[in-house]
Amino acid sequence: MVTVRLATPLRKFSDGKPEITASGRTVREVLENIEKEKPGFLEKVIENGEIRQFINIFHNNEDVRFKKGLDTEVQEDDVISILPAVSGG
Amino acid sequence: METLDLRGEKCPDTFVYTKIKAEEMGYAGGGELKVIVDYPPAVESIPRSLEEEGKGYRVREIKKLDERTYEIYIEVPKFEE
Amino acid sequence: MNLNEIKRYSRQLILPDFGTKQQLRLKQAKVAVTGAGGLGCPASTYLALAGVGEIHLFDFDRVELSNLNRQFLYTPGLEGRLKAEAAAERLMEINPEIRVEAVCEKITYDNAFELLKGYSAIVDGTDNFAVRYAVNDAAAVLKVPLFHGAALMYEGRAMSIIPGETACFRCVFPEPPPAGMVPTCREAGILGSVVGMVGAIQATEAIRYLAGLEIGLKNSLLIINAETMSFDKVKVQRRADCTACGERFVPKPVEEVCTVESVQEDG
Ligand SMILES: [Zn+2]
Repeated sequence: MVTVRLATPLRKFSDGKPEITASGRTVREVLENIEKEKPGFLEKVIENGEIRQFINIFHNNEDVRFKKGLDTEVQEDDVISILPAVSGG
Repeated sequence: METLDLRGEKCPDTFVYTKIKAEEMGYAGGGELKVIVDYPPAVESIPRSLEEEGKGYRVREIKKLDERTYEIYIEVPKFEE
Repeated sequence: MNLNEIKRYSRQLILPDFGTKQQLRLKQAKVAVTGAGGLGCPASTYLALAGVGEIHLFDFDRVELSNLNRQFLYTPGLEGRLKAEAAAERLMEINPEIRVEAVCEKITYDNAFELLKGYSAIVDGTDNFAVRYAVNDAAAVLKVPLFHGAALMYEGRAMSIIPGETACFRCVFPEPPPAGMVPTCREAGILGSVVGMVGAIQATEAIRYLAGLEIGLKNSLLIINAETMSFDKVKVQRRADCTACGERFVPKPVEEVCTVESVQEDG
């Protein structure tokens, strides 16, 4: 299982919790497995197979855009963070 | 039924007062709460914010009184503790 | 430095990498703090305490009672006063050795490039995307270091942006979330101590940078979660095609989507 940290604006997909666990061999599989539990999640994060412009996905604290994107492989106990920009101050 | 008249209030204060009143009612055994607002965005945001609270609130009905004024009827469950 | 200043700053002057030269750099610095709210209060307070010589506070809002759980430069009785003015007065009471000026003007994409000229650094404590992107783009074009901070409920973010060297806010987030991802009233919820941590981090980065010391949030976005008290520092990178700091600057004003601020004002 990997730990998935969801930024505050995405908390409705984790029942308000800051992190959830999910399984999968790649970032894409992990996201798809969350979608099975929480329908509507994937379209908030992905559009036409790409990560949305206003979303960042970090795998072990590195931006997956600079790795293999959604095909980045994940291992047991890895951490994925999903973040849109926030603006409050 | 309890009534909360929030005419003249805006978001997020409309929600602040609704949340506090609903919690008071929930701890006192639950019941029905009528909230009156004259700030149209609150008609959408109060029910949505209440749902996100995850306390089992149910918005039974929303009545439009005039261009700006609405009544929101909320069923407040009895809270556990 | 006069004796009063030596005594006032003595506890930072004895820090191993800090001394007369660093203190003098702070004294000669001129810093813009955009927003005198939940982030601006702690950030400007720590800049003032450290001895940043000139601070300009940008805010056009007025003090409200609901600010007082986090915006500690204001006290009951100040409701209705311009925040920037009230905060500037308070900061000069806190440290009479420095100068603080209030700029009670709304920052827009049209005026940011003029308003933010000539600063040693900008500390961003604004509360909506329209101003944040305006400040980011202006800082990138004017080549002014920008210390970013943001907060939402129990989550905080901070990042330090050094022009020509590190990723800017737009490199990380080319666009704001669409208006469709409208936050609810609950997302206007904020705890003073959480937004205070973020402001303190922004100020610490700015102070060390201005003093000529190494800083920790270059090409890094710090994500604080105050529910689990996890601090994640994620790596970010510049984008060559960034419209703000990339090969070619393209003005890209951002419309004010429904943010925590406009939740309070409009929805
Ligand atoms: Zn950039």
